[in-house]
Amino acid sequence: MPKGAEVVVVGGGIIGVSVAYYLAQRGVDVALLDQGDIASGTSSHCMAGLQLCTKTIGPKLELALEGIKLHHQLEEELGEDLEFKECGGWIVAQNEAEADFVASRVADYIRVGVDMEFVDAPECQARQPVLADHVTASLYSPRDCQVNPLYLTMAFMRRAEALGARILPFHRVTGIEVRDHAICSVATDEGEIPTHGVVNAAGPWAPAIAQMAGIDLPIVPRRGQILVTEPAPPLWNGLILSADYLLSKKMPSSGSGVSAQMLSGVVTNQVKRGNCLIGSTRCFAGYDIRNTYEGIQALARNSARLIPAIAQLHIIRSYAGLRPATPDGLPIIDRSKVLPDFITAAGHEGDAICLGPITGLRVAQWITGEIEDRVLAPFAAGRFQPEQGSES
Amino acid sequence: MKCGVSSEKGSNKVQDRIICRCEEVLESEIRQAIRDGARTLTGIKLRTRAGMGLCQGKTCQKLVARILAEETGQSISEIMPITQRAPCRPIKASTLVAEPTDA
Repeated sequence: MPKGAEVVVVGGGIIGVSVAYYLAQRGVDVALLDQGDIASGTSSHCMAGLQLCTKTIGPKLELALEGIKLHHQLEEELGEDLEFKECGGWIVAQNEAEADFVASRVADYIRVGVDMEFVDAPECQARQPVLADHVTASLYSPRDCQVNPLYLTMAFMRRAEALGARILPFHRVTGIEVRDHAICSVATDEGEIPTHGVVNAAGPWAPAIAQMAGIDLPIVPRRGQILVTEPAPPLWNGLILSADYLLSKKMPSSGSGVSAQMLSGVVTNQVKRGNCLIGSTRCFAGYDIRNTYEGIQALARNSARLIPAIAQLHIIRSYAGLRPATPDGLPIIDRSKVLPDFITAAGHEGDAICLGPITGLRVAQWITGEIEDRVLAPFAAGRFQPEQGSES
Repeated sequence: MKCGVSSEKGSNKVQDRIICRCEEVLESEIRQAIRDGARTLTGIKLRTRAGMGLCQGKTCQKLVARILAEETGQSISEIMPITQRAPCRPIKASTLVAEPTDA
């Protein structure tokens, strides 16, 4: 049975391991628990992009700017090859309306001082010849990056452990004991861990952990399906999104049926090994991470339309993961009002590989008093009405 | 084991073998992954890429399971297979695109 810890981190995904690493680096005695293996949930069922051009202008974009800056130093800091690359990102328009959309998006980013470029059709063909002939324009985001999320999560875990953090996979949290508005211990199926602080970094499972401390979190799992192609020689550079991927994000997605599965649009990138990742559908389906035939077919169709070379590649696997979604698309980084030593760091939806390390750093700095509450105020749970529990 | 190659046969060098041919993962790397905390076939896959290649573990999964059983003392029958996902064999994207959509 594990001994006590100053802080118990729940969740062995990118956010939990980052919190554990930055806390251990500050000399805090930390234990990290996961119901399964490290990186067995969302952090191994996602894509590889660190993107600025998908972030809404405001607190999320600001966190992403800091997050990507931090990513640039992680290979050196963690001492491992993370397949990190500043590869650039494209948001590609396939008709005139989408061309207007990307043009105004470029203008919006430039207005707030973020480097973006409008690329017209002939220039798209010259700079990204893999794109289909019907492409009308594109946004280009020179500072977008890619990384191997698995390597990143494992590297944080190993470094945290080397700094003294206790990494405890296959420890399922079964309860949180609270007395007089203070945490006493975290119960697991492997025994109880006395502690006074908890960081809830359980992603899509964060609401269940919060519930054990009597706290409601408006986070729901959103399934994203992804295809993997056979390894291919380098076909293109960078992350390629279709503009309708972003446009479809703005539409409601409840109910059932093909249209509710958010099947329009596509994001693709080619990883170091040569496989192309093609994602991702978005659908509320509870905790079901099975693929659907409609989802697989839509991803193949949308990607081959945008990048005809994909049609000639073999699909070797599909997978699906759960993105922890909040009603407004911003993560929840919050200290509970009723239980001040219960900190939530979850709800990053599809952005946690980009925002996870900076979230971990800020949470650790918050716990040790290095930063003030106002730094993380935009992500406080208080922005939601009490009782608000689902997106509709 | 018949999978892969034995390097430096007959020499004094420690012998190693390729267990996952698709991703060229060595036996020593699989044993290291288990020492690093992998307790399942999926855990080994996530740490080494064994089973992530063209055949999706059809060739190497049993060999990896044997090494895992040997290293951890689990019995082979307790070891869960890696998650099976579509497609069951590589399929050209164009074939999927051409399929009718009357779902």
